[in-house]
Amino acid sequence: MYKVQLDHFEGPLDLLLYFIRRDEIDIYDIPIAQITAEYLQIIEDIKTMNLSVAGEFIIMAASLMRIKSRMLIPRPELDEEGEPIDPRTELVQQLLEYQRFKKVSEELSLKWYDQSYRHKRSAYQEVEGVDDIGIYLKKVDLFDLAHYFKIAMDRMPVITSYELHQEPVSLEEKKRTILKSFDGDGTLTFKRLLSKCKDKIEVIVTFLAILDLMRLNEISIYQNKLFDEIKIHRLEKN
Amino acid sequence: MVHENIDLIIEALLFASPDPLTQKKVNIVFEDNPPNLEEVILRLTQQYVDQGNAIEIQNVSGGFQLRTKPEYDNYIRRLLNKTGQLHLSQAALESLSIVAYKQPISRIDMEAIRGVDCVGVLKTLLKKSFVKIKGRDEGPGRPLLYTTTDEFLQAFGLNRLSEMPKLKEVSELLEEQPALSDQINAFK
Repeated sequence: MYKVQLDHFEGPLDLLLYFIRRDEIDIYDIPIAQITAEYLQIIEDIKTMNLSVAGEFIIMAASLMRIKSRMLIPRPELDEEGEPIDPRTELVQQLLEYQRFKKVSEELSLKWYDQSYRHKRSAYQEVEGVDDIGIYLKKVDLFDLAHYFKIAMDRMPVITSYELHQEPVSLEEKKRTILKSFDGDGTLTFKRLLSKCKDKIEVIVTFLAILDLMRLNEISIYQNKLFDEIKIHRLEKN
Repeated sequence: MVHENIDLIIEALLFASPDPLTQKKVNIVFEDNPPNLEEVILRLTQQYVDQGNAIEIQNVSGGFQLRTKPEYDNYIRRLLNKTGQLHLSQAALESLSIVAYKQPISRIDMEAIRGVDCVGVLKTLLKKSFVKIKGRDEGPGRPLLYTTTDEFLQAFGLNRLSEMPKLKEVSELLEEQPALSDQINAFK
């Protein structure tokens, strides 16, 4: 049997048109069961070759199976005039429309090749000394501007060096300050510690200092319930 | 001015114009009493045919442009160092045909016709300036709308969009197409 390779087809519609041509099927009277079986077989073959199948092929498989199941319903759905609706109609319309554009694209292709043999003058000198900027703006619209803006942004040099500021507070310093801040009974509230901080970075360093002091078993932390005050206890060194 | 004089001026304009020469541009050049471009082109074309010139005047993108005859393609390619034919994929051609007939059209509507994703191919077409973004649809999501460009007409040697085959004719053509078996029989 002839092996069908999926990447030779532009998509599921292209593949279906191939079946229709090959088996000389009347496009207005597609044997859905037969086509669906063939279609699924190909998808299965591809899968067993451990190749991924593009999503659109899977969607078409689902649509084909839906059409097939609808054709099996003994009582067909009726349209407004009471005529039975052929479940294949939508697919046929889609295939016909795609087939038309596929045909046109073949014609376009011929035109493209024919034209590519006919050369126009290629390099034109930039017009110099033109004061009227309007001449350049004539054909530009908003989306052209957006396009050129993107080009300009893409051309921007990539920044590779970063400036870093040395932080005014060091972790060690903060740890010492925290240890000194305990009052007589050796407790301290988290809120009070933070209230002394001047900026965000100091809050962060304070927080890190608390974590580090816990790690060193210098302090421990308690909270009675959620959102309650966080208390810090100084641990006595043995 | 006598005919010959005007014909020569138009020929010079054709040679020097970066874009296809239009009646509108001719009107700007000849302030009063501009000649009818099409009439001049007819005479020039006849002259080129009589002389057996290597260049022809082509009616593209609503104007006229000098183009070399196809038989000199090889030599010109070598001169310009253009190796290999620029190939347009089937995906690109299909998408272009859809935009050409249905413009302005959104990507979603293109995908509905082709049954496949069109993101990549649209990018290619935009890059080649065969399509451009014309604006946004008023509908849900306000998707971008695409149209074909003058560059598209030029690259495909079309004077205007109406020169594309009529979709109705294409349908009839497809109906008339002999079945595969008939085609095979023809070779027997």
